Amino acid sequence: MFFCHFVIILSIYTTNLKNSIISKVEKEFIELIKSHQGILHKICNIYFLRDPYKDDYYQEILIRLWKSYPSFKNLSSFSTWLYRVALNTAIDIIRKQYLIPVHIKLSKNEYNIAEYKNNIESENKDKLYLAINMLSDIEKAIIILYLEDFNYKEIAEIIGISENYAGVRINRIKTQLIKILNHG
Amino acid sequence: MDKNDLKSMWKDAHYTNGEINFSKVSIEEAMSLKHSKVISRSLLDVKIKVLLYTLILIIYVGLMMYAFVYLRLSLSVNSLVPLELVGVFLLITASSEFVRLLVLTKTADNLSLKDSMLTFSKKLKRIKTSDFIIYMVFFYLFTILIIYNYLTDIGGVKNLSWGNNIVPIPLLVILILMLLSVPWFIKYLDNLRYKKLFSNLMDSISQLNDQSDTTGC
Repeated sequence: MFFCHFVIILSIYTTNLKNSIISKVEKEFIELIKSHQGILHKICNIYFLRDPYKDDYYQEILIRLWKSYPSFKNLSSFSTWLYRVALNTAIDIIRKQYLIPVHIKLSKNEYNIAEYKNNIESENKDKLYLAINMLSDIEKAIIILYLEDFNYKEIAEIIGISENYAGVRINRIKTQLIKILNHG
Repeated sequence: MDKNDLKSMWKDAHYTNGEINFSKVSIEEAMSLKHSKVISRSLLDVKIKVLLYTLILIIYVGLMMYAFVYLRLSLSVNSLVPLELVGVFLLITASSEFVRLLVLTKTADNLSLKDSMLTFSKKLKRIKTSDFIIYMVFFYLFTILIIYNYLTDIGGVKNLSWGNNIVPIPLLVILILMLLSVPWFIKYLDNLRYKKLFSNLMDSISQLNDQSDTTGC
């Protein structure tokens, strides 16, 4: 009888402990994401500029970040880890569209988003986004890291190339972007 | 425009203009999901197909077992071949959808972009190879079974002749050749199906490998 009580109390205690640890991790993750949300917006705008499912892909990136969060071990800064996972996810989503093309009817809201985009296309931000949109997936990843003030070492680490080569690629992409911006 | 203007342009754009609002997407809600709506809907389509084809395949195998093992039905090659071809078709459709699901759910987000691509391409190659080997084993065994059945039907190798009543030998040879070529045909179809995905991957990897002209810049 005593043993049964002991087991029940122990199980309640461990469950509570487990829940409190989980909720602590969840809260920590939510706080970190809230403070870095701008990064995710930029990545979504770069990879899914005119995609009516941009919100969905943003959500998918959040989901994959949460799934990968246990593997974040503070070896790099949170933003470096966030960029790595988010860029991988964005590129993965685009690549896998070759296997499952999305054929879902657009709602009125999604049409409105498209109209809204056309109206603000003249702005500088959109010009830059449209120019970046003409780059390849890898070039997009490199240039966003450069524009976000990451140094060559960090860019090389996220992309998986040498520091020297990161510099070479950045110069090439910058030249390409300037050409697109200047000549439309 | 100068190269250094890009950074200032980027900064101006993000400090002066507000971000496009993603307020509809809740972080808490995302944490409770396996995939976003649009991705899970696409995956669900594939899962339903896998389930449906597998279910039909199981029913088919069950019926065959019932007929041949429980009822001890004995059919000649003539009647067996069309039945087996239905099974082959079901197996191909079920497994190709399953492979597609495997490819769609494989990810390596924590690695660097290049490593992630290399890992994914290795996984893709492994999936394609194992798929090919499974088909090869299945179809080669199936061919052996058909030859064995045929020889049993005609009463041994000694009765082998061009003009027997069961199945004419040229037809049997064509059937065997067809069966032996199925794994290669599936490999061709797989290559075709994953061609764009694979070429995109290879293109991205080669972009990151291209270090030959680094001195030129």
